[in-house]
Amino acid sequence: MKNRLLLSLILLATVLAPGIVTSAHHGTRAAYIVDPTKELTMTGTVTRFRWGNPHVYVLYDVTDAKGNVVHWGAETRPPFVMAKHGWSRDTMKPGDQITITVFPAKAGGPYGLMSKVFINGKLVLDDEQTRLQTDNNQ
Amino acid sequence: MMSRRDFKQTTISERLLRVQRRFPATIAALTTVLFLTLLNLPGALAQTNQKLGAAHQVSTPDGSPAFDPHNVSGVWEHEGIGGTIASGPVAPMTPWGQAKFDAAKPGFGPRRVPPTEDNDPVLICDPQGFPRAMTLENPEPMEFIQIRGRILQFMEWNHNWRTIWIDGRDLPKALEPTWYGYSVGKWEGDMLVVKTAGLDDRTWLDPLGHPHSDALRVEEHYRRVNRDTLEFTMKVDDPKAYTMPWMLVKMKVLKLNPKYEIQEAICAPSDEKNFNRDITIPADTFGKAK
Repeated sequence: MKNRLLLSLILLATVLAPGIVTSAHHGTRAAYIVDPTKELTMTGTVTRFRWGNPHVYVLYDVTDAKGNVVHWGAETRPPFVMAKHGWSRDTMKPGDQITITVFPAKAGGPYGLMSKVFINGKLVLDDEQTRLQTDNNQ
Repeated sequence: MMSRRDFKQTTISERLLRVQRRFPATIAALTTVLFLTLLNLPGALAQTNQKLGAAHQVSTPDGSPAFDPHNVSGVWEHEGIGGTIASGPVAPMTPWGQAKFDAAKPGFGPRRVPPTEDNDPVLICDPQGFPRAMTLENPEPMEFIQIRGRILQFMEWNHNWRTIWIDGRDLPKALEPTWYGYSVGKWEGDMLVVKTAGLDDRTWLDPLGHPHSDALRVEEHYRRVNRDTLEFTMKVDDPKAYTMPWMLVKMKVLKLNPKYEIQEAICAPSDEKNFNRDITIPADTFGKAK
């Protein structure tokens, strides 16, 4: 139990560590509203997780209050960057429950840029501050 | 029938077997000697390296680790995080340069166009090329390997490499343009000065769409200020595109990270295509007429 707690703390420290490397060629080409007051948080079910360049992304289904299923998509950073922060091609799989906070697409569709992600209740990404520092110029 | 050759081989094998049978102790002794030599190999190599580098080893007055200012080998990382594409200030362009700049449709920065309209070559995974691969655009580590007569630079992003010849040669007079050009370097005091020519004008200098011609000449300066720090600047001189030379990289501070192993980060056109289909295009064009 003690070991598990320690491991969780180490993992948490890893995902919370500042300084996720970014640059223009890893920047997003789609336009997002990188503004802390415009973030959206939702819970959904993963339908596809793609581990590849230029950016890792997830497609997931969210059921709204009326029972309609909306297909969402969200991107993050390239695999070799995410690998340095503990992600792998197995980080998500179809059927996983994710609670995800995104900076929404400017065009208004169900697309976003990952800010924070919990998978089955466990925090696996906190990229909010770094995004605010480096991606708020679009 | 046994040929002469077969006979010879058989005889040699048999002789060896006989030797082995007769002298197991000899074999054991030889094995031991070989083993001990191998064990001592790293030490022997280190001694050789020390001797080779001894002429340039610098002892620092503040007690920081000794280093060879004329050796840039190692894995080098950017100081701090990336995220900046700051370059310049960009020199005024010639009419030729301005026309090329106007035709460039960047995916990033103040002149950004939607992903369906951009034409930055790297966005279809064309080579980033030189000098763009060495600019502040790339925050990924690089591994430099300095061997006799040359420096090999391996870049994590795109799994690229280039050669800098440091064997005293000059730039060839006639060069067919290539993505990474032809580079020669010389030590001027403790400054490594690298000159490059023969560059393919299909590459951009930066993600903002600044162009260059095949007349571009690039001069890089590297200075190892202490064991762990390498300062880097890069000047571009392209009279066809710009009215004067300018600094494409004013200063890039690289830090040694001996523990890091260069990763594979390849721009694969099929990956790019999937990503654009699933995310970039629909995210950017949602609700707009296609």
